[in-house]
Amino acid sequence: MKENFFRSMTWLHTWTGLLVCWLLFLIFFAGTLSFFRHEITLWAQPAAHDVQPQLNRVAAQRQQISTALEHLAMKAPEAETWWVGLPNERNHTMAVSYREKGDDGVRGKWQDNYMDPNSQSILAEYRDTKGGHFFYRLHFDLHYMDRTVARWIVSFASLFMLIGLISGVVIHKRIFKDMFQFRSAKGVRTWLDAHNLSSVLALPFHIMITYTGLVTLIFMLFPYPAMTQYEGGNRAFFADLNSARQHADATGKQVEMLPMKQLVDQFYTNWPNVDIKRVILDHPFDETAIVKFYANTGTQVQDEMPVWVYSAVTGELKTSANTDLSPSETLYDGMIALHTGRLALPGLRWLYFICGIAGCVMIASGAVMWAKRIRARMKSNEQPGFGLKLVEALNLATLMGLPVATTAFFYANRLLPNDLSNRADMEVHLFFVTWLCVTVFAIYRAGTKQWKQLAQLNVILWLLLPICNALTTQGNLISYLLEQQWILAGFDLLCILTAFGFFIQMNKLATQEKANVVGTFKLKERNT
Amino acid sequence: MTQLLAFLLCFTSFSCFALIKNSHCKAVFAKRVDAVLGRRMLMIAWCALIASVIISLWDLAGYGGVLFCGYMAISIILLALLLSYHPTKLRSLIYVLPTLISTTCIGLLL
Repeated sequence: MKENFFRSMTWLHTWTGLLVCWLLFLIFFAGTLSFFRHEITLWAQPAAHDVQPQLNRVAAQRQQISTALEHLAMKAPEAETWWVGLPNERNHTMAVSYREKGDDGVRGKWQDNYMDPNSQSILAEYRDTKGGHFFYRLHFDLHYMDRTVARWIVSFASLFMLIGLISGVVIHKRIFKDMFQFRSAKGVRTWLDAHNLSSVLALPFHIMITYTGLVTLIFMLFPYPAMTQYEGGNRAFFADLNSARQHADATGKQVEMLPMKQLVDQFYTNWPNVDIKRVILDHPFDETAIVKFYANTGTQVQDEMPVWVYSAVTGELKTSANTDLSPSETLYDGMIALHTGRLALPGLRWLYFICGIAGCVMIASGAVMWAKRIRARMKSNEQPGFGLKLVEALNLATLMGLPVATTAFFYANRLLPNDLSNRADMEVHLFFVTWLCVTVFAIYRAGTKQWKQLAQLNVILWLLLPICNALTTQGNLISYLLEQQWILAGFDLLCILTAFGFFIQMNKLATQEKANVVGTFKLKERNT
Repeated sequence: MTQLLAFLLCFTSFSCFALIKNSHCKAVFAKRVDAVLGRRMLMIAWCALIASVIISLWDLAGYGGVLFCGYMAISIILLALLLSYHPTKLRSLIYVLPTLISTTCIGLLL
């Protein structure tokens, strides 16, 4: 225990932050990109670039659902589940997917197809890619490891983050006085200012996103209330909480389902103005076949979609859920909605993104500042210890390596052949292989020169990405701007802006490198 | 339009909070802030901030509350950048911000 409360808090803030900062950076980085996961997925699917948004989207849904279900009835009558994802403001295509029947208790594989809702024809040459979904899963499931283990790791990192935030507020005595303070070119002081500013400017966001992040995994972290109240534990609790997700196993007895159009008409007779997000049909042509209509929650602070479940055989309404939430459900669901940001329209989505970037800057500046402080305290003839070397290497590998790896993922999306087997997995492997290469480079040496080299690499890679896109697809930045394809234009512009950011960093590092060389030369001259 | 007004009020509020501080006031106006003016600016800052919250919540309820947090972040980023690199540009905001707020209010009333 330190001699006083302030010092104890400072110690706690430093070590809770430093121990998990690289993992937190990955979580924040992936989470920030996930706010635009549908936009990234759209960019990753050139076949969907020319699909036009519909003017009367909700009015067109009735016809779209009937067409999609009839298409699935023709194409996959033997499937276990049909899945129809309707176009919305962020995703203009219509998903018509199905899951094949699995063998011996193993779930079957999903087969994804996409339709142009305007022409209602299947889109050809849809490439196998994870798109923005990769960053979304990476944010809380990590990769190459068991999901439960990954979620526990992410939970602990989030808990450390929450402790870091609270202790940070406690130790920062002049939190409001220094709110707008940023002194550039002042060494460690500049890093401290950047750390404070990025923390304070989005403090409500940081606290909200960390706390609600823990809430998303609360039933994994605290299963005991459910375990004591329900004999079946968490599984029984969730069955009670969301009855619409439960369905009886298929009996194997084949029956005729009602015509799809009749089912859809029946739903719309009862709920004429509902904006539908997706329709799922379980066990088609089985006597237990049910069809679920999920409503779009739009900008409501509610994550779980209201759902109506009908028998696909008799057309009877079996159950509905999430249409009238209890106060505790509203609170829990509201927190999840705030965390995921699915409710956000473009303006709020950008605010989420900017605050996410502020979180990345906060973590990065904290990690760099620790190493800089230790370096500043060292005597001129003192050799850096293992801890400092490790932190410097991990800082370089994570802070500069992740953006490089992200470009590798995007380049892989554009350059890998469409008919490559396991193409989506290959994109992900390339992301991690690139990151590994940068890590090896950073372990070799992590000085100013290496930071500058990686900044140069980032400039080149981010700047060439729109060019690579223009060469491998039908569109380019100019055509996107002319045709008002704002999502695709935004992606290219953001790449150029990122390259510009790294260019500024590269110039600053070059100046710093020159100053270091002159300083070393003068020191040698003085010694001789 | 309503949300633009909420943002402008939020930005005004944080501008006043920043200018109350002597170091920032010196950087912008090359003089210290006097006590009476400081108190008035503090009052304006709090009133504008409360008005911004109320307008955001009144317009879009919970969604407005989330937007307001974003407005605070954007205001602080803009002010920190202006105060660090172009502090004198903040002088013109004394005239620009009330004009913008008035124009937005008139636009809303019409």
